[in-house]
Order: sequence, then structure tokens, then C-alpha cells
Amino acid sequence: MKKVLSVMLAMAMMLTLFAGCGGEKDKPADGETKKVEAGESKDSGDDGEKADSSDGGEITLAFVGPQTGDNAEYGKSMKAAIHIAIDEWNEKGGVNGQQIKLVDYDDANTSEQAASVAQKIVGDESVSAVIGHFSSGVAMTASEVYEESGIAYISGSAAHVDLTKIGDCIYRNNAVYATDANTMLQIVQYLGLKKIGILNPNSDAGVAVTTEIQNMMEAYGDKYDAELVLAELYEDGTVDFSATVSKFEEAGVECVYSSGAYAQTAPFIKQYREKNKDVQFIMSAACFSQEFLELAGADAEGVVLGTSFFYESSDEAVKAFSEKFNEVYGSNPSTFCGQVYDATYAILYAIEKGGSADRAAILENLPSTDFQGVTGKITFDEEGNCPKQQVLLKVEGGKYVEIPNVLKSQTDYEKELGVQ
Amino acid sequence: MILEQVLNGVMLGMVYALIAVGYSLVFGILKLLNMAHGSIYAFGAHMALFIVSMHFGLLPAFLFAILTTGIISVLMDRIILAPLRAKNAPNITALISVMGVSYIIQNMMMIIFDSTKKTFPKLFDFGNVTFLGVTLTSTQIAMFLIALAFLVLLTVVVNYTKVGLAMRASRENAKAANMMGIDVRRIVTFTFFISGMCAAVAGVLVSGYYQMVYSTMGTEAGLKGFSAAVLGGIGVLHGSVVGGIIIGVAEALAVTYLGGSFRSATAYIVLFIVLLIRPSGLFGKDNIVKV
Repeated sequence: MKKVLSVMLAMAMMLTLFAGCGGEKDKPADGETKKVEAGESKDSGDDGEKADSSDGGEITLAFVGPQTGDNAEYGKSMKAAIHIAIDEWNEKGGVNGQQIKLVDYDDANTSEQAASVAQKIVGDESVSAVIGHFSSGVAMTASEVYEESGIAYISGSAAHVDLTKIGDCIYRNNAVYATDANTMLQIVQYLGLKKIGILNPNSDAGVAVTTEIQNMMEAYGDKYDAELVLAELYEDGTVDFSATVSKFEEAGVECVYSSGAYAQTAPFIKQYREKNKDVQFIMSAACFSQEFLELAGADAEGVVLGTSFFYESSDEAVKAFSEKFNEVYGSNPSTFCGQVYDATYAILYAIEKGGSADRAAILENLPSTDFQGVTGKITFDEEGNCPKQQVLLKVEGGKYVEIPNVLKSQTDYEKELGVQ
Repeated sequence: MILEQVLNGVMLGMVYALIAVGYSLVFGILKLLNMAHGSIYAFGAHMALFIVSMHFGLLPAFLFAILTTGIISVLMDRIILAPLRAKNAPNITALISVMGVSYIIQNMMMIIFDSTKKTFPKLFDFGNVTFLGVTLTSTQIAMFLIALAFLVLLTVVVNYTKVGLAMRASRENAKAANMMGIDVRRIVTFTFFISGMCAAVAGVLVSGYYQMVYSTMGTEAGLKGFSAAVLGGIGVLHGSVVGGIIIGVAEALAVTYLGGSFRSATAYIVLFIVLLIRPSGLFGKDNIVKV
């Protein structure tokens, strides 16, 4: 009996180890990419056969993102957005007379898989540049590989400020945490709330954004009139938030901010709403998604969030993109979709400008990127970040509605507040 | 505050207890750790979701889930475990086989139902109840009561019915039970069916409680349920309930006083401490395995 028990406990511990890896043990762990039907994209996967880009053939871009697991929705929709961008270029004759194709890889949003996929990509000479990876931690693991081998990589969703500090090959078309944190503080002030609670995932990203908010509030001091009452973290994969909810209730928060992915924030909001109908939820662009509305259901009502892209903008390019996206994907594009769409354009412009799809030539021309994309003006600062201006959205009647002229850029806001 | 957190923990513990009894039932009879139980639990939830999404309502969904999940559990035994037993294969072979089954079920669900989180209708909603200054939601209370009723029913079946007697006899000594005219093979099949049913009941209740279903929901829940079973003394039904509640309360208190990042770690530390003091679990008997 004891023997049996000891074997079982050993198994339990082993399984816990796996479970610790984000419960992703069901994914192909050996870095084997899973092929997902992707329109014309044929992912050869192995390094054996590939198109030669130097022979006036095709230009190959790579997309990596979660296509299985909790965050699969993000990955699949981002891929669809990139396909739209590539199709648009191919329709007008490609870039420098060459057609563009996309190969896609699944990293299941895990660092282990991302690292091996990244190795595979840089080993494939035909790939000119890389877009994707969902979470910051995952993107940062893969970025080390891209930086080392000198291939341009643009993230459309990672927000950790350290990502672009990895090197000159790493670019980002997403708001950094400072922007997210600042947006959150502006929203709280706009709503006239005083007691803030924060619930972030216990990940690189979650901890970083919490720290960012704390630092910012400290810097603003008395000039900012709301206070941070309780900052909490949750384990990836948590479904029961009842204890956390009780803690927030006890602390008497008026609003809760979370930068987490909708798969976790939606159940949290639902469980909180059961106990308290009045608390205000402030989310990040991660919850700007049709799936969030579906998962949170009626409890999504009243949620506000800041995003640098809104599909109902009056901008013609945004309208056209949203229409196409609806056609191929069946729902409205999220912020990340818009951002990878623009990232694809940035790379293709760089190829056009340099007249070459060489990895080095792309890197040379990316810094001078300057065009009006669907997610605003696309330029990169010396670190490789694209400055973002966010808009405030509110969930009303089961859809997102823009509340215009509330959010300002961080510099404008700080000027107004009288800090700096 | 502390009372509220303890009650939150008790509710969560009932979720674990529901899963834990499934482990206990099979282990009691076959001394087999059914590692596929977590996946079977997720399977039950998905079966219910399937019927719900076809607009047949919750009750048919519940019945359909119980039936199909019971059947898949029996099939697993008949196709994989029974031949192994017939060949007198060591227990570890069966253990590895059920782990394989677990992956097969989980990935099948991923292929058929997609890997994203899907919404599941709320089971009950009659407002909140305030009790000793603590607010409990109706879903929490309903889940607690149904789980309790189900666990009592299960205990009655095992302890006070003829089938239960046969189950206990097979557990004590399968060979002797066989000689006394008990069809042990049928009892094993019955046990797997009941264990599958438990998984389905747990799956539907938990899905209704959290209002969502996803293909990997069995991984974490299965592990916690298993820990609850071991903590209470695996093979002992009421032990599973107590074990589940202890783990649930440990988690709730960990979140309260240590923060959300310490949730699982605390649960396992409690498990280790209990096992250090009572290696066979709280209610487990120190059986000496005679070779």
C-alpha cells in the first residue's frame, strides 16, 4: 500500500511540474509545429524543401502565434489579419514584382515551443521576417533567437518594455505597459473613482504592468487623487476567483483593473458580478475581442478598456480592413489583429524601399518606417517601439462603443496633471 | 472575512470532492489510479455542452452526459484495462495505459470542440444569500447541495445496497468474491460506469458553476481531485469529501493571506504535511499488502 502510494505521489509531483508549465502539456511539446488550414499558406515545416527567395521567386514571411490552447483565438485571428495584408499586396502585384507568402507556426503561447519554433524559422533561409508571438514572455524568449541570427521581428501584441531592448532586430507595434498603465489611470480619473484594485496574471507581463502602475502613481503623488487599495496576482489557468473576489470586496475597491487575457478575466468578471453588481471593471486591449463578449456574456456590460485600434473608426482604411476581416473571419478585428496587419505593411514597405527581401536589407529600412496604418501612425523610435495613442471603449448592449476625446497621450496627460 | 473565505474554500472543495470520489471508487476495487479521470470529467462537460448547444435544455444534457460518460469509462475498461488484467499485467502498465487514454480523450475534444473556452449556461440563479454576514451566491449554494446529495447517494449505494456489498466484497478479495458467486467482471464494469457518472456529474456542475467549458479543464481539476482523494485516504468515499474540502479551504486561505500566486503550492504543501503524518491519508486504512 505504501509502495503504491509513493509511486502515486511521485506521479502527482511529476504531473504538477507539467501543470506548472501553464497546463499546456497536451500541446505538441517537441516543437513540432501544428499545421492549421491557412488559406494558401503551405507550411513545409521541415527545412528540406523551400522556395528560394533570391531567384525572383516568392518572398516568405513567417507568423508564429498560439493556434492551440487558451489563447488560440488571438493567434488565429492575427494570422487572418496578416493574410489580408499579404493578399492586398499580392493583388497589386506583390512587392518588387515578387509575390508574398506566409508560413505559419504554432507556439501554443509557451516559451519552450516558441524557442524551438524560432530556431526552425531562422534556420529556414527563405524566411525574410517574422511577425507574431502573443505574450511578452514568449516573445522575449523567441526574440533572443531572432536577434542572434539577425532577422527582423515585429510583435503586434507583446507589451513588456524589455522586449525591444533585446536588440536592433526586435520591433513592436503595440502599446507598452507604461501606456497601458497610464491609460488605466486616466480612465479611473475620468470615471471619478477613488479606490483601485488590480488583478494581473502572475507572469512577466502581469507583474510588469502592476509595477508600472505603482511607480506611476508614486511619481504623480498628490496630483493624482485615486489610491491603489489592493494589487493581486493570479496563477495562469485559475478558474475559481471566489477567494480573490472576497478579498477585493473586503478591501472595498470601486474598480478593478486587469491586463489579463479574456480567458481568465471573463470568468473573474462573472464571479465578481455575482457578488457585486456595481464594481467597475477596467480592462486592457486583451479584452477587446468578440470572444470576450461571448464568454463574459451579460456581465461584460459596462466594462471599459483602452485600445489603440477600434474597428468602428471613421477612417477609410480601418473600415476597409474591418470589412475584409469580417468577410474572412466572421467577426470584428481586435487591436492585435490591426497591429499585426500594420506590422506586415511595415515589413513590406521596408522590402519595397530596400528593393530586396534580404534579412539585412529589411533591418536597414525598418527604422525609417513612416505610414498611416489602421492602428494610427506607424513609426518606430530608436528602441523599436511604435508610440500609441489609445481610445476609450465601453461595452454597451453587448458591443463596444467608443467614448471619444477622453484619453490623451501620456506626455499630454502628464503635462496637464502638472508632473514632470 | 475569514468565515467567508473558509466558505468559499468549502464550495471549491466540493468541486474537488466530486472529482476525487471518481478516483476513489476505481482505486478501491482495482488498486488502479485512473489518471484518465480528469479527461473523462472534461468529456462529460463537453457532452453536456453539445446537447445544450443544440437547444435541448439542461436536464437532457445532464442525462446525456451521464450516460455517454459512463459508457466511455466502461469502454476504456473493456477495451484497454480488462485485457491487461486478463494477462495479469503489472499495475504500472495499466497506469500508463490510462494516461494514454487521457491524452487521447483530451486531444479528441480539442479537435472536435476546439481548444478555446466556451460558455456554459448557469445552472441556478435565485439571487444571493447572506448568511452570518457572509454573502454566498446561489450557484455556490446549489452546487454545494447537489454535490452533497450526490455524494450521500453514492455512499448509500456503496455501503447499504446489494451491489455495494458486491463492490466491497470484490475490493476485499476478488477471488473469494468470485467464488461466492459475485460476478467480479460485472462489478468492475459497474464501478467504471459509476465513476464515469461521477465525472459527468462533476463536469456538468462545475461547468455550470464557472459557466465555461474547455478541453483542458480536466488537467488541473483532475490533479487537485486526485490530491483530495489521496489526502482523505484513497478508496474511502467520505475521505474524498473531507480531503477536497481541506484542499479547497487551503487554497482560499492561501489566496487571502499569501496572494493568488501561492494557491496551488499551498494546497500541495498541506497534502504533503498530512501524508507525512498519516501516510495513507486521513481516513485510509494501513493495509499491508501481502505478497
